[in-house]
Amino acid sequence: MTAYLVYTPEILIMISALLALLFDVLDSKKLAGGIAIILNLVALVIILGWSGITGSILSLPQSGGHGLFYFSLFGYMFQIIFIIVTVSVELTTLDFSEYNGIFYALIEFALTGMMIVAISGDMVILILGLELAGISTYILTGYIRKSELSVEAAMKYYIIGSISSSLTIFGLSILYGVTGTTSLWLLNLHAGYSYIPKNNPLLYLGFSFIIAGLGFKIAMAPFHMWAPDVYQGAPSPVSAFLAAGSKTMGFMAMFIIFLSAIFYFAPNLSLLFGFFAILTMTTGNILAIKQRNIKRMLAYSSIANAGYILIAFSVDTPLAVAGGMFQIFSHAIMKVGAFIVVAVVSVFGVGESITDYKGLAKEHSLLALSFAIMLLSLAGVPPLMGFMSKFVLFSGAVQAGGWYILLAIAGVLNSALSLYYYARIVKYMYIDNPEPGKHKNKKISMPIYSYISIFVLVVIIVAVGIYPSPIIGYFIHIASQYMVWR
Amino acid sequence: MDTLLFVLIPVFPIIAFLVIAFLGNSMKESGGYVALVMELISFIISIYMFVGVLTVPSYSVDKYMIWFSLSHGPTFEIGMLIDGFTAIMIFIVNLVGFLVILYSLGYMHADPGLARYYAEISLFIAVMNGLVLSDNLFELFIFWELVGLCSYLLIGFWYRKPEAAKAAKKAFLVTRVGDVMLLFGMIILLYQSHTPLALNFNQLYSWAATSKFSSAELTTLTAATFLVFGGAMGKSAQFPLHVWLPDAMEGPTTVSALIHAATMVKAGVFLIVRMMPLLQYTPATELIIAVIGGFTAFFAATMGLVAPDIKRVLAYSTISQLGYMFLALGAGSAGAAMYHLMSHAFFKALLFLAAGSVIHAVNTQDLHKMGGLFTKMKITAVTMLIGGLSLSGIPPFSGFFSKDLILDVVLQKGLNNPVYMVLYILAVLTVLLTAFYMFRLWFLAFMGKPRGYDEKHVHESPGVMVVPLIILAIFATFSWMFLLLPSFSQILGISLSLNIPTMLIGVSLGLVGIYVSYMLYSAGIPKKFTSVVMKQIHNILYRKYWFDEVYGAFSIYIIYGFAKLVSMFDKYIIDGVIDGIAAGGVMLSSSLYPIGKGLVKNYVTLIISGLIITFILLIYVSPFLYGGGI
Repeated sequence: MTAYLVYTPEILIMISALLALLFDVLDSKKLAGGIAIILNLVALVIILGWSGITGSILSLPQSGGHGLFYFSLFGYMFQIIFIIVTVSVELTTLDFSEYNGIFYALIEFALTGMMIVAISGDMVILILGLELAGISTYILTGYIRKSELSVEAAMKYYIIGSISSSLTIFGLSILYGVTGTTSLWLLNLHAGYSYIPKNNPLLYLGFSFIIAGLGFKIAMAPFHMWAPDVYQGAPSPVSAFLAAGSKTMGFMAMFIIFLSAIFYFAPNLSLLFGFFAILTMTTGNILAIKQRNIKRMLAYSSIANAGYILIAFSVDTPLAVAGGMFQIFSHAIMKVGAFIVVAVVSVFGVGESITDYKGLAKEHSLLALSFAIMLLSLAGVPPLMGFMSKFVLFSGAVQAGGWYILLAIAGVLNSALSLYYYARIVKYMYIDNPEPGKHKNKKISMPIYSYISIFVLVVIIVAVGIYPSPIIGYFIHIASQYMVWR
Repeated sequence: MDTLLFVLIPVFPIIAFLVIAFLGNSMKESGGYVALVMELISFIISIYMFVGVLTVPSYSVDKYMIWFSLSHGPTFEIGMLIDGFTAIMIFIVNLVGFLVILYSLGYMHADPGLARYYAEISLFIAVMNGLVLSDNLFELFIFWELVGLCSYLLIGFWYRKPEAAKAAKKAFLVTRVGDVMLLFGMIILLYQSHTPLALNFNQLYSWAATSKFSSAELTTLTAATFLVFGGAMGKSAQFPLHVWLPDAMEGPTTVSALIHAATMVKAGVFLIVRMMPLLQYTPATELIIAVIGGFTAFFAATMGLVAPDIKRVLAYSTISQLGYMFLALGAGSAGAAMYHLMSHAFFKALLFLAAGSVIHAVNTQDLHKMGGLFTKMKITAVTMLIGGLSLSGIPPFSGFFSKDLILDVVLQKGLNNPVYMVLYILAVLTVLLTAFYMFRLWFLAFMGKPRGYDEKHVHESPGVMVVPLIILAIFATFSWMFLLLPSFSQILGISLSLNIPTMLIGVSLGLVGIYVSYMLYSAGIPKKFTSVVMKQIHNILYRKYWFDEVYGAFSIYIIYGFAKLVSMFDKYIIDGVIDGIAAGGVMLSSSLYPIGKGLVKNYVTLIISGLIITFILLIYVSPFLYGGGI
């Protein structure tokens, strides 16, 4: 029995999904959301205990294989991100009447899938997790059935998602054919890749399929086209979940499959990821400049961030991987926060066009301040978290030397370019006057839960930015622990 | 002592700043009370620190936490270094800070920008405390810049007045010259020292004490310490970066008392006190400090002789007294400098607040329009007299003891080194000038007959303004008694030993200065000088040696010309490139925009082509680039 205790967080989250379904029948939305949040937080506390952050309250093996699963600090870190993102999104939706129990059930199912991906030690489990999360998010995207945009986005997301899933699965099957094992942790931690001849073209075919398939999840150019359409069409809380949660899951999967593979097939894979890193960040930033819709702009910014994070895959040293994880963490926090602000200001009658944000600071100073902090952090302005994570990531590339320095330079230039479209929103909010007829203050109840989640996220952004030392140390610790094969 | 308690010293003023900054407009006058109460708490904690350190004179604790570290580089930390110097400085800052806020309740009454004033003053006190508590140069530099910012904001507090806005800008720019030097000095020190904790004071000391410097390394260290002193020159208004301080008098008088007399301008002295263990290895820098300090003391005092503005006289006096402190530092005595810093903080804050009381009454800063105020403002006049006697070095006021200590230290050094002997003579002459300009001010303001102000409305200032004057007067008179405490002397490494000859020289010159000014000014403004030489001297001093003109010409013709050139480069080359990138980005953005057209089939086509590109890159391109591979 005790052997199953290691699955407690996943089981808790699964239970919360089922309870949410039950409460949906009873038509008790607040209860469904509340219980989901509470169970998620319980799971979070357990994982924090295991990962040694809050001290070991529950002494279970910190890492080790359990057949199909593999538990590590690395996986726990990602689970922590997933839960923070989910809880923030759920808190926000408590303020909106259109989300009922089904919504919480779906989002909890998606979270279960993500949690499974984080602890998967086997290709089969990985696919299971990816699909569980994927299918739930397809439905979530089309959650507002009456909105044409939402349904169209869901349809696009579903079709392209299915194609990409099939690519991933096909790639994994080729990998199985070449290596003879479906066990990812055998490949990763027991040097499984090192037994495979380096010049096996079939292996590279498999890698190509997996990169194309997972490239969809992380919105890597040129597999990124769906992201703006879907983020725009989906309800804002769902966009937050996709940009911060689903993308992070894609990175987790890529880390599991590729982290040691890059080391063994070094020049080829490393160069490929470097190429995609520059392509993705440049595409994302350049296209973001032109966007008039705030959600599309955030989508492109999310694509650009995927480009930064890919630097970690290309460089593949402990410091760079730690920087990549830090960037994933900070991107998730900032992006979920930004989409939540977009969701909240829509309550006050602010539209989705970026010009609607003109003069926001005059009427909603707290929201505008939070949004400005998030955007400036995304742009990498010190002393906020986004600056620190980029700083660690780029120093990882610089420290590795050689042509990796080019990646750091591309990253810095791109950050400079990105400041343009982030700072433009800040300027709109603080300097410009509102356009006449906009900002009609509808009589509504205060979105108090959203304020709580925004507040917590802003505190994280500022606190980690000012005092990043422990978190950087922790990420470096995890990265070097995970990369034991070196 | 619970060291962690001291973290709270800057925290309470920060709370006051946040509360007033966010709620101030609805609080009006009560913002002042928030600032006062918060500062009172900080003041009480700093008394606790002061007393605690006095009971354990060798107390020195460095509490820090790692801020961030890079695996192959310096570790940056933030922390507090608490020792005797910290405790004395913290005590001064919070005592004067508290009294100034109390005084402001009366002085700034009904000013429209009241909330801004209290918010900025609270912020200043917080960052000044942070500066004093810093345990490394990097952290100190951050607070150094923040106090500079607060100084800028408060000088320009009445920003609608063009002179105030101009003075604020000038202060900011001139001190910036020093800050750049300090920054370069820090960078050199950082790379030279390689201490585990970047620029931590204690580690710098032990690094300097344990390493055997080669002559090249000593040259580097001399450059570093000189550049650090450059920062102090800017902040403490030493020649030739002194020009901003007289103009800074455009700010409210309370700001002049707190920032430009008692605390911020002392930050330069405090920085050099912190650097003393390094300076002992670089006698060249010590000599430069002594020369600049000694010269500034004399030079500023000469300009103070003729200044017509009551606050500007005090500003020149501040520059001159700061020169004394640097002279003591250059002579190798941190204790004498620190002790003069303390007594100067009390009597100069007193003089400024008394001057503020006068300005409050007569609504002018021009000494020529005052006169005869003694009978109308007895408390102000008497407290200002005490401050003036203390400044002039007349016993038994504290200024006498502190100035005597400095003269003594310089004389001892001068017995072996002729340069210091010259500096000693300059310093002694300055005593004469100091007494003269101080009593010129006092006689012009309080004696003689009224010269054109509204006599009916002149009365003594309200209680909240008078009480701080009395408290400061008590400190200005009796703070020498601290030296009677063995532990206090032990912290500063000085003792109350009177060297009779130097003392007699100092006191007699001070009395001569007072007597001359009494002869000239006690009955009012004397007639114009008749001798051509005196006229010329008066003119030179009055025009401040044409420093403003020279600097103005320098900045217009050389700096501005250079800036023009750089600006051309910036405009046509750099901006061209950047605008080009931006325009290219926007163009590319527009041209890429329609790709896909939102159609799923196009997206899928792109995905498949991406897949093919990936495969081709992996199989063909990478091996081609690297040779080998597949």
